[in-house]
Amino acid sequence: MSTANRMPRPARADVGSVILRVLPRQTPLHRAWAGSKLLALTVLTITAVAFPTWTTLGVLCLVTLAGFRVARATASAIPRFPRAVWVVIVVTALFAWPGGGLPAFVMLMSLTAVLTLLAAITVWTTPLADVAPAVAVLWSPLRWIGVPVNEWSLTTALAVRAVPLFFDELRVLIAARRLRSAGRIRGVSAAWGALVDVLTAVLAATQRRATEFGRAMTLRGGVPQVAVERPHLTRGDVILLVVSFGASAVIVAAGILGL
Amino acid sequence: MTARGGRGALSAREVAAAAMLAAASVTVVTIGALLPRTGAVELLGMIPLAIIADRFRIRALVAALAAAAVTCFLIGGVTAGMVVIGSGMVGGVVGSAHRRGRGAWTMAAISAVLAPTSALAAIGLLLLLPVSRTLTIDAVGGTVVGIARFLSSFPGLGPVTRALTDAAATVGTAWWMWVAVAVLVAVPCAVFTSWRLLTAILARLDWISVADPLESAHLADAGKAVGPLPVELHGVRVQYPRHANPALDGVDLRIGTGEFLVVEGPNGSGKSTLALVLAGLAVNDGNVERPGGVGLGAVGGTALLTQRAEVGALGARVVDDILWGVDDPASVDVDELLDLVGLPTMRDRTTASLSGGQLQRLGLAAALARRPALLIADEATAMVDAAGRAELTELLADLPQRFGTTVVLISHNAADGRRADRVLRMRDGRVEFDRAERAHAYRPPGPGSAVRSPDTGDLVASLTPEIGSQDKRDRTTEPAPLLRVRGAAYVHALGTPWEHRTLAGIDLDLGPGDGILITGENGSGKTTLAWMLAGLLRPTDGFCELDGSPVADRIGSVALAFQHARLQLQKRTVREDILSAAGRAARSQHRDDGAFAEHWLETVGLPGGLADRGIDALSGGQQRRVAIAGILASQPRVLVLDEPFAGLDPAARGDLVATLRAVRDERSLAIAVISHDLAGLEELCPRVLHLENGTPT
Repeated sequence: MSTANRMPRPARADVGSVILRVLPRQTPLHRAWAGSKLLALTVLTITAVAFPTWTTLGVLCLVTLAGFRVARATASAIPRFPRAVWVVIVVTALFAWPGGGLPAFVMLMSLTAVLTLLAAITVWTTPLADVAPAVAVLWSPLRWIGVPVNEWSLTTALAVRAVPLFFDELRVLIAARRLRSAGRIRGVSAAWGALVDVLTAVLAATQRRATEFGRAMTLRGGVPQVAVERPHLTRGDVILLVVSFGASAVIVAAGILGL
Repeated sequence: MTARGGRGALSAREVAAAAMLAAASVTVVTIGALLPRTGAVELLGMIPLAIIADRFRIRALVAALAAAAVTCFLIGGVTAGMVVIGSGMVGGVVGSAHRRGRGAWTMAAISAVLAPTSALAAIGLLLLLPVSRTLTIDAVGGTVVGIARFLSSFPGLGPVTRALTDAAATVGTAWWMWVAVAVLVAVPCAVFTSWRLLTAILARLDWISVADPLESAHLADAGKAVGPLPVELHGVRVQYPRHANPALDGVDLRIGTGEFLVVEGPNGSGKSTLALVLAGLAVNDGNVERPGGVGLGAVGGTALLTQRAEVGALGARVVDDILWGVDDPASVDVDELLDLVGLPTMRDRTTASLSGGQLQRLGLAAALARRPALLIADEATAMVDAAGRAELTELLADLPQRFGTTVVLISHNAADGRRADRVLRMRDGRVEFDRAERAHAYRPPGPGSAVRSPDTGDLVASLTPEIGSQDKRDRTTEPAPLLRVRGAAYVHALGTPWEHRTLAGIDLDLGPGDGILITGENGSGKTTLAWMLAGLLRPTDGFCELDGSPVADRIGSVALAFQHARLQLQKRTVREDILSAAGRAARSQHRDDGAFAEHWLETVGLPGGLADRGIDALSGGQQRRVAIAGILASQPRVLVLDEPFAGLDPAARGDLVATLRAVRDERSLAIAVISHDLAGLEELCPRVLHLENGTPT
């Protein structure tokens, strides 16, 4: 009987187990329309990519902090990345320092982190089921230039539904490889073979799933016309859109003025 | 064989394939984006998109790209979104060329065009974003100079240091050159890697794009006035390509309105094909007469409920699923339907959180929402527990009187015939008998063996000559346990807002030759326990030990057969997979024996001739057996099986139970079976651990 086994283990949420989960709370951000959140995220991301400055970082930090508070998120919701990620970042920073690239490197990393956190806040407050209908509304103006919005929306709805299933399948696939003791890979050609094996297994599962979803759709009468429902915008949506577009305007103005 | 023809809007099959391949690509790219900068992983996101370009229309690729970009942006951020679009372009071009059978020269030509174009596009984008550009240049240049300084402290690296410093100096002024060089190297690498991978994968996996025959029939049916009943079949024959015998052979049948018809018969007798013919499948010979169109999924038309309800759920929430594709959602009383099928208050639950049985109930509700004239239920209650099954059968039996619906119930379970107006028995693609009778004399399953249905009992007995040897085993000397679990608990996502206890207070001993059955509802922690027993999850409290040391420290010493067998089989052919699974020690024992794989195939009741088949040429049931054969070949002392009987009919289930019993007794194997269904497992697993919300009851 080993005692080591009973020692408390450090709390650690691995990336796969918490991805795409909604925080179990009721907040104004949870109640806001998914489309507003997607728009806010998109406009902030685009302006940040166009004008990555310290001002931008400051504005984004404020917006993210506000979103974090409103969504009543906690630091424990942020997935812990594998230690290797931190090692790579720290080593690169150590090289960038003497070369004078440290400020630029730190800004790039901070912006990436803040933008990822913004996307995470969106996911934490938006059930997956709400994403595709909202995207369908946002895409609907594209109908006028002949874009097949109906099939794009349906494809998105099914894809969004399938992504969590794929994460589960990958977990099984990795576990199955770990269980096979003979799984040592030596040399380039063995690695290539293993890669083909794994991809074939994933794509075989994908194929089965595609056939079954296709059949299920046929049984319900084929490809339907998705009704585009007018979203019910609340005061929360208005505040969210005003804040995000306002923040973006500040970023653009500061960027053009060179602040 | 491609069905790339067709114009206009995407078909159901194309939408489904585009969505699933997009999801596969998103998963790969997101994982790549979340891990350290591993461009190689993200590169693999091209492969699913290349398959769309290879096997489907470009229109499907565009839809998949739109879906993938949105999903990726949301999960993985802006970089992941851009990566997936780039992957789609490269994958799309490579897939299209591959479809036309082009080789290395075409790939070189593609690279020659695509690389400079991409380089120009990248430079153009950076010209438009001067602030981003300067920032990146500063970061990259600074890092290169830093590396040069670091290297300069080592003697003999002078030239390298100087080259790096010079390079860093040019990054600021000639940035466009560096971008061009990077893109010109990366694009051909991506093109050739994805081409090689695509070729290797499609050589094994026929990503069939042949249209679903039922869908073709459904499209041909469109426009007709709906009128599925009465339907008459005259001398109907259905022959599937590459099958030796016809699935249906000379079937004559008439089904009127308001009937409750039960169809019985062993696996492979043509029951499911009959269901498809009633749902509109085109026949090879004979004819099918109806007053109007089949109206699959239409109001007053035909509804077909299939065995695999877990994928039948198209909507993300229960209410979305019921209304999916309904023309007039306002006409459907969702709450009443949910009440009817035994899912009250489930309206806003996500379909992903439902159990197999609940999904089958949901499938029935979605079918009833369309008030079908003809409802065909093909083993559609197999995942529901016994009490629920009886309840649903009652509901189905009442439908003819209630709504005038004709119900065709296809079932392994003879008891379902009790309330039938008419019982049809199929055998070898023919109708064996077709009787209108109220009191159909069904033979109840024999005592202690639910697998002994009239036509399978002999088979089970012949495969288990040692039936009864159970009693001869010496039960007085308790063997020392191999596997000891004490007070084991598991908390999922510990330390996060999603933290929840999936297992608590598990005590379990498993000795050689022992068998234990672990049961419980969906979500009761069965699968978590299976993963813990195999060492894949370390208990967050208590311990799980094999021979006194934690299983989690020696993964592989307890074997686990996953429910999804295809993911466990990771080689090209059955033989390669069994050899790989067996491990080096087991293989060397059998070095002189050329028939290693055959031996293990026969052990699990498969013909040895399957050894050289490709994994993807096997049926789902065969794949599960091959996975078990590989595990047995590795000669484990403890074997955990997660839902090994899901989707098997009683005969196949009986065979597998007999095989496992024989192996257990012969090798003193300790077996833990996870199953929601207890029937017929008493001999294999004398002990039962029932889980409820993660705790034993």
